[in-house]
Amino acid sequence: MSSGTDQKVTIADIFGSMESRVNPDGVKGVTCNCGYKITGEGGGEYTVTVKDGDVKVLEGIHSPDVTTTASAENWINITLGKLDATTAFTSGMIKIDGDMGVMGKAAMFFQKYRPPAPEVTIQDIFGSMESRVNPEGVKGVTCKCGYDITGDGGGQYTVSVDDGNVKVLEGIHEPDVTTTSNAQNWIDITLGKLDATTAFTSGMIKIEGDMGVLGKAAMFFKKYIPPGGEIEEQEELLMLPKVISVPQKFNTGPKMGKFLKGLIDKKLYANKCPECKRLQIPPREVCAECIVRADEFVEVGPDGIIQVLDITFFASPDPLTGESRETPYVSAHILLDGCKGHETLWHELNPANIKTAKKGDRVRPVWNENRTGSVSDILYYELIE
Amino acid sequence: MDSNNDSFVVDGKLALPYQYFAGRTGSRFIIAIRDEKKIKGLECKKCNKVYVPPRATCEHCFCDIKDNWVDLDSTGTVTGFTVVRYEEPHHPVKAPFIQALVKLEGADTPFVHIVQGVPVDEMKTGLKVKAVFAEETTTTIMDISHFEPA
Repeated sequence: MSSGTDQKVTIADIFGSMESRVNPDGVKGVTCNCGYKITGEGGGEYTVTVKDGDVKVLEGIHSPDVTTTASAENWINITLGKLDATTAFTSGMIKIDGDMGVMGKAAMFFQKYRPPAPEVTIQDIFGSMESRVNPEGVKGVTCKCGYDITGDGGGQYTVSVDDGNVKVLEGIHEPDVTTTSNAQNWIDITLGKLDATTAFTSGMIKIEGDMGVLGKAAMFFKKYIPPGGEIEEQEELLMLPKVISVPQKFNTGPKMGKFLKGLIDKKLYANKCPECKRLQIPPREVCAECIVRADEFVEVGPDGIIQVLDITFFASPDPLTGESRETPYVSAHILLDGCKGHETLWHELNPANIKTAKKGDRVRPVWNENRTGSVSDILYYELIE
Repeated sequence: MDSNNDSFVVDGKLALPYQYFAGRTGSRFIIAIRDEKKIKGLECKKCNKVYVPPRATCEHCFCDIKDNWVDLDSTGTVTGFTVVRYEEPHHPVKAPFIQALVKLEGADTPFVHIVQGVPVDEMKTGLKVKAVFAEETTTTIMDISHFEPA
């Protein structure tokens, strides 16, 4: 399609579309003339006149308060946001003569310029197919795929593949499978804006015949690039996933050490404050209330009752891995036999007990086969039926 | 009172996953090495300097040079080096090896890579070297396998 190749960003289009892009708030109460000398190929001279909010774009330079000189290429890049105007100015790519204060306001005069969208037609999609054949995809394949594209701009086509040889014919010719879609949906699918599977399952496209053939058809052609749309092609950006590994040592200290070592023998130790007599589990070096050393150990549990239940349905992702653990899971404060009040041990409850578990239920630990002196020596607590 | 006999040490490992983004400029640099076997730099026409590895902004005049790509020779001169003598799992090659700053012909800045084919004790700055491109690419700077005496 020849007309499509003209769909590029031009200086004429940028200035020509300005009056339709006026930002009423930006020009409110402003009166000034801004001249633009756009040099080089495709350039031109324009004056944007603002008279108390009324905007006209004239060709030529007409008594400007400030004049901007830039090459067509740089001005297009600034308009598209690919080149920063301040950088362009400070690096000498654009020149500004006159009242700089006016220029500051001018940045607010217009809404963002959007380049004319390349015109995509069904004719162009099918017409360009033979030039987009993916040799790997059609290797050894023989089939005929019919396409009935309905609605405005539609048409009927048959893609005929004969042992890797691809012809696109107008009309439907003895297809193995026929796809029916309206023109807009087919364009969206081709451009990747609409997912083909979604379109099929939601009934936006209909497929009759051998579905297996269609699975192969997805590989027949290389990506369709709209006329003049080459710049839209995605650039490859590199990203390396890495893992820093930091060796660490955790020193248990005597109190936590006693507790963790006890788990190896399926024993649970709390320590007792010599003053207030309360228990701490896991034990700490000192009583957190009385701030005195608490050296006496008491064996408690291992069974107990549920004091508090906390069911998590939406786990926060682990910041280290970005992955969330399986949900729902239950964390519980368990009052072990021999403990009272708030002297609870925090652990997890068997997820199978979620539905029935409640405060006050008796639970017992399920021990890990291989115990190493870690909190995971208890897999979790479970309800005693 | 208990002795400290119950204390023990738990060995652990903290894993910190992260993602390194090469950015537009870095990506094009690596992709050119991978696909074209070509080392490219960015030129500041104002300062008349060519940067390798490329940077989008000239470090002297701060102007935007991100589109001024130039092709460079794959030969250059060693401007400095060190001999790495210890083993680390993340080293790309076995120690001892030479890590050198190589300033390519036509470039104004050197960049770090590995020099092979010279005995460690005969290595000297000023050595002329050329890039050897990796046969198996990994889309990293190691798509230049190493430099060797030119």
